[in-house]
Amino acid sequence: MVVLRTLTLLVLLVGLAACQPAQEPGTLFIGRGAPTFVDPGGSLSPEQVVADGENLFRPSDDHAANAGMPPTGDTVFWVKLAIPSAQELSADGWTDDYMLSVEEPRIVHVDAYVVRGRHIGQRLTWDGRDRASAGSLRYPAFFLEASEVEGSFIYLAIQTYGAMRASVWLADASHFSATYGAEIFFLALLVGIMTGALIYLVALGANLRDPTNLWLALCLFSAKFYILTTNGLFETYFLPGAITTSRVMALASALLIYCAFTAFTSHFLRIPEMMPRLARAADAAALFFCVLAVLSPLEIVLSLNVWRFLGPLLAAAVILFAALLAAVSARRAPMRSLLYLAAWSPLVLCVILQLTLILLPGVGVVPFSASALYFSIAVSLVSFSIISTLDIQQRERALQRQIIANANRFRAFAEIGTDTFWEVDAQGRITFLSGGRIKGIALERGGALLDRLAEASSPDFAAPLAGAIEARRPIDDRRIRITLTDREHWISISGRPIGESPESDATYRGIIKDITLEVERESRRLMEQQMFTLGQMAGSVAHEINNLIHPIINLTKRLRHRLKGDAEIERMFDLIDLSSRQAANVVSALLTTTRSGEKWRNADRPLHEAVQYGIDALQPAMPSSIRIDFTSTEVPCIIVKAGDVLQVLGNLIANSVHAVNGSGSISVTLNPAPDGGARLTVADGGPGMSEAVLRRALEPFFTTKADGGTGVGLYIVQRIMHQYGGSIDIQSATDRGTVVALTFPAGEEPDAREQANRARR
Amino acid sequence: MPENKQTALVVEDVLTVRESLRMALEGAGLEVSCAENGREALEMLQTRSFDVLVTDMWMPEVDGLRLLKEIRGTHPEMRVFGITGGGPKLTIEAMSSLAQIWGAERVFLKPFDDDELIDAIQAAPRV
Repeated sequence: MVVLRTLTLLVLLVGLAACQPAQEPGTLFIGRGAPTFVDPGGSLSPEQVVADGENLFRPSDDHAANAGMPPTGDTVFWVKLAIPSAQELSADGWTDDYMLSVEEPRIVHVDAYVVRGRHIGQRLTWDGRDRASAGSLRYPAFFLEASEVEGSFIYLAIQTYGAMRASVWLADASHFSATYGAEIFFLALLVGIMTGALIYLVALGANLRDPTNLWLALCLFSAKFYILTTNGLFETYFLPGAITTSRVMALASALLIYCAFTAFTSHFLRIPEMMPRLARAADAAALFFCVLAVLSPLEIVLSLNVWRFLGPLLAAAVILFAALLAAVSARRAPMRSLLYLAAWSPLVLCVILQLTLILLPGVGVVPFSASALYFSIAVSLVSFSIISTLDIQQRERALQRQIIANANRFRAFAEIGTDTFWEVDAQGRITFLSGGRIKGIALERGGALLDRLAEASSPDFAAPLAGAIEARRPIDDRRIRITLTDREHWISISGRPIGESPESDATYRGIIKDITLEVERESRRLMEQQMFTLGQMAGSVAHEINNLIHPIINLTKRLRHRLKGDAEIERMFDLIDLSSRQAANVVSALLTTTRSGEKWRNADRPLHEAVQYGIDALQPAMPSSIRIDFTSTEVPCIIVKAGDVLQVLGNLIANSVHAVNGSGSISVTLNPAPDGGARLTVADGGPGMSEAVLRRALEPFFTTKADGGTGVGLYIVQRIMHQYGGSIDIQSATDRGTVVALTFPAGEEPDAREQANRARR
Repeated sequence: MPENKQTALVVEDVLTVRESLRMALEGAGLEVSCAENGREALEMLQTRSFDVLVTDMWMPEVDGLRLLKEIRGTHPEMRVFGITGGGPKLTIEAMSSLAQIWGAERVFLKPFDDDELIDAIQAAPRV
């Protein structure tokens, strides 16, 4: 970057130096101060001009001698040049005949008259529309024999398209040839370099879909045409005589430069990402210039002559807008902004210099300033191509680093888990393997995935998978049982086909998860559910049978009492009694084995489930005049015995029913407690407790129920809560109702608990 | 012998159980009335009261728990004993603890010895 900036600075200095007028031996800059006048209708003949010269010609002040000349094709601009005498010139080492050149490619037609006194001698013509006759030069030049012109006057009648600023030179003929050749070489080199940079940028920009480079390419493209056309190369060498086309192209390409430059500046300085509004303004400006470029032929065809005012104005506006964007972006990305300014500075300075020269009175045309401008355009644009390329490379490297970092990150994630990630090729061989390893399946790169799976489970499981992979159908959570020596394992396979990619010959990828725990948990839950249903059924059956057995046992007992004494009858009763008691035992055994309803109650359950169960069980047992309002929010998973919660809720709700005198609503809530546990409250709108009663509420056998409460309800609740490490809190006051709040502390994670149980097994 | 016999109401939907209980209690000197279910019992309890109520917990129409709830306020002096052989919804244990919450002195699990029930009835009521 430092090298680049130094280089840019150097170019800037060279460009400035090129702007300085230089007077070499063998050349004479004779346009300065020559008298001029404009013949708007083009009606004056050379004889009339020569005859009436004193009245027509006005001394030129160097500054815009042509200002105000109407741009019609008829207007003729007259210049009167004094050719020094032979003595004056030979002193400067002139050796050959002369070339008089008017260095302005915008000239359409020039007539030159050699005048001595009032006599018109040699008459010469140069017409841009007929380049062959004009000596195939890119601006008017006349060969003059030294003896003919020394000490004479040359009258030039010039016709142009619009405004012009011509430098008029008299040069030693051999010197002219050398200079002209060098100029052409310089311009050709410039255009060549720009074409190279243009091709490179278009290729790069199109490849990377990068607007910055494409806008810069448009800049280069337009600048190339601008240089080709404004220097007369186009109508001299490419399409001889096509002056009008060349003028239109020059104008359009200047406007396209403004358009592309504005858009490029915005993108290069990352304005769309930083300030979208400003970027939209830049886009609008670019569009405006683009529209002007489309309209530009009107200026030439209709001779509007607005460009001479509009051109400098637009140039100034573009430069100011670019400076504004650079200043805005300097706050966020100072280096980028600085680089931008450095790269543009040769051109910007040159443009400013040119504008100053035009606008400052008394300065006028400076030779080489046009060349300096073209040179600086090329230098700036080529520097930008280099910067932009480096920039893209840097971004690409950053992107690559990011991609690698991402890949590493996901690989690390995959290694943490137990899931296996795989890809297979069309032959079903594993081409990629990452993540954890599944116990019992020997997967390896290059191995056949389905063969390994078939070995671990059975071919029946693998066959449908093979079909899905071959037909490129997705596989979703296909579960396979793997039999290991110690116990059964379950895996789940999911997969998707992969689109073709040149980087890999994998055609299908997927995940294998070990879902043994999940399957075990699920089957346990299913079993519990089934046992619960079975238990309910068994309960019904037991109820019926117990009812049937009850009278048999009791009536037998009574009969035995009555018929005492007969040994045989006693023996019969023994058998009846035995048989019915055995029947009772069978029922009891049935209940014990299938009583998963009870098992459910003794089973570990999450608190919220147990509370819901308790409410569901108690609700039907309530009188219709009592309403239980149960509300709950999500609470942490705390494992409790469902039976305990039923007991606690039953006791508290019974108290509340008593408190509201059998009619009213009781509200039960379950919410998270602040310390991570859960809080279960039972509230009623009864008369509440006095302070004295409240103090003794938790004492065993203390009761306020006149109809004989046991006095142990709250005491039992308290004991159960202590088993859980929880607490009971009673808020009550006379006429304020009662709220009993039970706090369950946060329990172990159920999974941790489950795993601990498994470990114990 | 007490001059006024103790009165008992047996509520039980199963005829055999109901009759065997009636015989047992009458044998123990109680004056026994019977009801087939909770609704019938409630109707009887509207007009008169009993010293002892022996009720099955799981019955059609109005079950034992409901019966206990309904009479809780109206017959505070009546002693209540539950009998149950279990049921599809609640376990025997849950049923008995609920019955006790609603005022049953004790819940007997079928098949039980009727003499145990009679002993409990004849024992001094808890104060």
